[in-house]
Amino acid sequence: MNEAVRLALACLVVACGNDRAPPSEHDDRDVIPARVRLLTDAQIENAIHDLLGPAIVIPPIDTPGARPHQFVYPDVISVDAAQLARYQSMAREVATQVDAGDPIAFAERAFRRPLEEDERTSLATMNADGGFSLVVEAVLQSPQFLYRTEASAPMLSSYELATELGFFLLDSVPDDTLWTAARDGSITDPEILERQVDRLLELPRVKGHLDDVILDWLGARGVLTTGKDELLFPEMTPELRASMFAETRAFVHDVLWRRGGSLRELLTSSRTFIDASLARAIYDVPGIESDELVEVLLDPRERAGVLTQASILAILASARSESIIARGAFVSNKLLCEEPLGRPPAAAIAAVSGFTSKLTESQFGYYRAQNLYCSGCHRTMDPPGRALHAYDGIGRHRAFDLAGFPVDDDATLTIADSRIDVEDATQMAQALAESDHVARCVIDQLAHHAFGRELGAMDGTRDHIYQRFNASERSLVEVFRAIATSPAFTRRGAP
Amino acid sequence: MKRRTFLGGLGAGLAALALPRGAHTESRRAPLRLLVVHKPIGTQPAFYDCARGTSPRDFTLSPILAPFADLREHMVIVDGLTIPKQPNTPNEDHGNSIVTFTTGGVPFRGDATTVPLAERISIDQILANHPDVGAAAPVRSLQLAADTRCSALFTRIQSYAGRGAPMAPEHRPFAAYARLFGGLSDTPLSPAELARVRRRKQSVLDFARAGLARMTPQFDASERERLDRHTQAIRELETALDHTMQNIELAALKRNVRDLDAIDPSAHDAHHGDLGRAHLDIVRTAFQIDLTRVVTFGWATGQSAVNFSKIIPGVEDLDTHTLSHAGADVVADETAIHTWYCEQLAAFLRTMRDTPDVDGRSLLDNTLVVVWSEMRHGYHTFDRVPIQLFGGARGQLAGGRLLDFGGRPTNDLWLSITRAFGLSLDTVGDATRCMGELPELFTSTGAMGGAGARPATR
Repeated sequence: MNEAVRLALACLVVACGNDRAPPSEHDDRDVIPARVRLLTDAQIENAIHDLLGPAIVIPPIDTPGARPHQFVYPDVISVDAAQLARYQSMAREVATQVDAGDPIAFAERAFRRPLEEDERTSLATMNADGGFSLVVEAVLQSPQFLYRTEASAPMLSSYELATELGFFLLDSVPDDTLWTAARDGSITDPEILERQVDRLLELPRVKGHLDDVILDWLGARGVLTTGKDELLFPEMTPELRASMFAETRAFVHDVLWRRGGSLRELLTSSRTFIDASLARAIYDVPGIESDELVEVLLDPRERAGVLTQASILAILASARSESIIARGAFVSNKLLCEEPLGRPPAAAIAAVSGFTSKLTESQFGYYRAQNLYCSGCHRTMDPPGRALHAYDGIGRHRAFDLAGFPVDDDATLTIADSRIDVEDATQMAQALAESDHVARCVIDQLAHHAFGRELGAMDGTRDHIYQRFNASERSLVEVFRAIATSPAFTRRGAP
Repeated sequence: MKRRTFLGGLGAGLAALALPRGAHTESRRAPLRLLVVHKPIGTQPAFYDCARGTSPRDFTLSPILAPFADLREHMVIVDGLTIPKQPNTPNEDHGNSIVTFTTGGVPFRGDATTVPLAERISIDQILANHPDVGAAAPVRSLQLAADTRCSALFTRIQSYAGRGAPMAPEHRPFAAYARLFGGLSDTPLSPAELARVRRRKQSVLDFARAGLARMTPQFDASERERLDRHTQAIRELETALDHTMQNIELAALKRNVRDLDAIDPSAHDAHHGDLGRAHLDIVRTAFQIDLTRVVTFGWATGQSAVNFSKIIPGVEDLDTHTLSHAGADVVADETAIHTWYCEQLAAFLRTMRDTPDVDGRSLLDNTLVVVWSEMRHGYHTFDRVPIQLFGGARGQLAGGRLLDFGGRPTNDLWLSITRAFGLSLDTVGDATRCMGELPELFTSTGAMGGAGARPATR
């Protein structure tokens, strides 16, 4: 049983409350207290390349407890001696690759602020004793570089705000234009902040980073490694996995930057990008011979949006079979913001495992729906997975399941408190795309990523983002723009 | 990897090693060390449980434990302990049980995070912070792991510095080496060169310390705590700097960890044993020069991703966690895996047994090794978890016994361990899940008491 399935066995879900208090602007609850945030390993690497040039070879820091492409960076990592030693050896190796440089200019950009007098003195001393390389070694393992400090209240200082914007959109230190706006203080003017955000959103680098944010939210890279039985799915080669990921990446990029960032398109579009191997092995589209991705419109009765793409469907499966539970839990967690609470007790699983191991995935689904004990949780958790039952363990559309029975993908979804009957995945995709509950759930998660903490009671920020999202073409790009101008982004509470 | 050559080289290098300056040298009394070894996903009870008679010494080693046959007199099999895991803890069982065992209490889920974390400090860290135990050595404690692949953070953490403060293990032997012995060059340095290197390293640390000192007052207590931990880390590296600036010969160890670092991560399954043994070799070396006294080591995470088909021919081509849910078909595969882990550990313990300590006894005699798992077997049960103790605990642990504690909580084991290390706590972890010291496990803790050179205070 894979991780997703096991996690999904989790019982009982609590719906997100939508009986929120009426929106109130800039309420105290919208102010995150002054805090420090440790840079992610990727941010450190990007910053070093921006500061010292792209040719620098950076040894992996490999912070334990954090993974590359983790959607929400666990903000619980303390710098203990072991972690400090990792930064030290990284800094040492980078320092061996630099020749000469201006220690003060370098340190200012690395710290994202002007230097204090004693910092200038120490750096000058080090420069005299060990040259620029010793300065680089010291700066790259210093807390001034490793932490973002969000300390000024009630508004972040121009330097802090430029830093926040840099790490949010560039995933790195501020670029030259942001740095200038920090130095002359103009960035704290809401209009100029807005203009900087617009400028950044045009940069290919920022677009690529935000593509990654969406892909990391979906966990799409999982398709590169998810375990598949080689006998049952011989076509699942590393090349096909790479094509599956490339498809979803190209699709997300297209939705964000050429389709107005539309959430509806993300969830329902049957326009996608496939190469010859995907056309042959998965989507059954004739006449595509290219090894490069080409834009196609798939049969809209079979495919609608990212949930019906091979990458996501292959991840939400076990090694040998598709998984109703994993797929249902994915929709419940990522689109409905329901929370898994725990798996059934071991005794309950043990009691049924002898019997259920002989059932097909579909039959086991019926069993969970019928059994009073299981259905308590699974009657709301399973239906989205049931609606995706017309796709096998690597995302091929099919009329019959593994055991030869016709696919049954009728399902009754519970979205917020309403029940919606759907006949297949494409109808589910429509229902999800129309739901405000889904939109708010997606906004909450993107905000969680950006702020490094859950929105929780920050309703002023939530409403600010939602209103701008709604006033646009319900655009995810507008969500990013609104996050960067929200109270939770620009304000901090006094310690 | 030529392990034989490596061990030979290391032995020769260390033979020439004088114990560095440290508090215990006057009395030539050896320090007492703790090594906690986590092996994931329980055992196969039918092949683990030992046939036993009426007295603790009267038992027959089971097939899984058979690799310890020649270490039997250094071993106590602890049966009948329950991990007092709370039902319906957030997220998943393996990680929750790991938190419950290591901290003695249940996890919590913070407001601003989706990661369930320990509510309290782990017991190994209580020992690490104690002035007579961990804090008496330059490196208070070490966290190492042979394999950390798993999405859930808390399935790979054994040590917590405090509430919500996980201490993630280092999984690269090379990084662990660099941290502990990294100040050393391959060739001996002249005193002048040493002094120059020392001064530069010191200036880098001073710069960081000054940065933290300016930063800290801007924040409230919880952020300050985090920054204080960073300051403490700087202090620790500084102390270790003095310790490792001596010219000691570690070329063989360095070569080994460097070779392992060059292996592509996709081949880590096949090298699982080499990676684990390299970590354990580092631990032994650190114990030997008294660089540290408290270590937690994990073979893999609670949802172990290690695929044993690359290690043991014939084992099904699945990761260990998936395999553990595959039912009755894979009992033989799982038994082979659990036995393999015992073989690896036994090989390490023999090197501990054969390494002399400063007091003329063996390193194993002056160490307590606690081997544990977060559940009894892959079907998620938490009573009778497989636990073995090794080493003499400096004369306090008589080996060759199997003890059954009939359902007592694992906190009682921890309480007994803290007493063996000279602490006089009344309870550890969640007090409602701690009944008291385990009878007849350790002998005369009072007589031996105190882990370091300072006399016991109890």
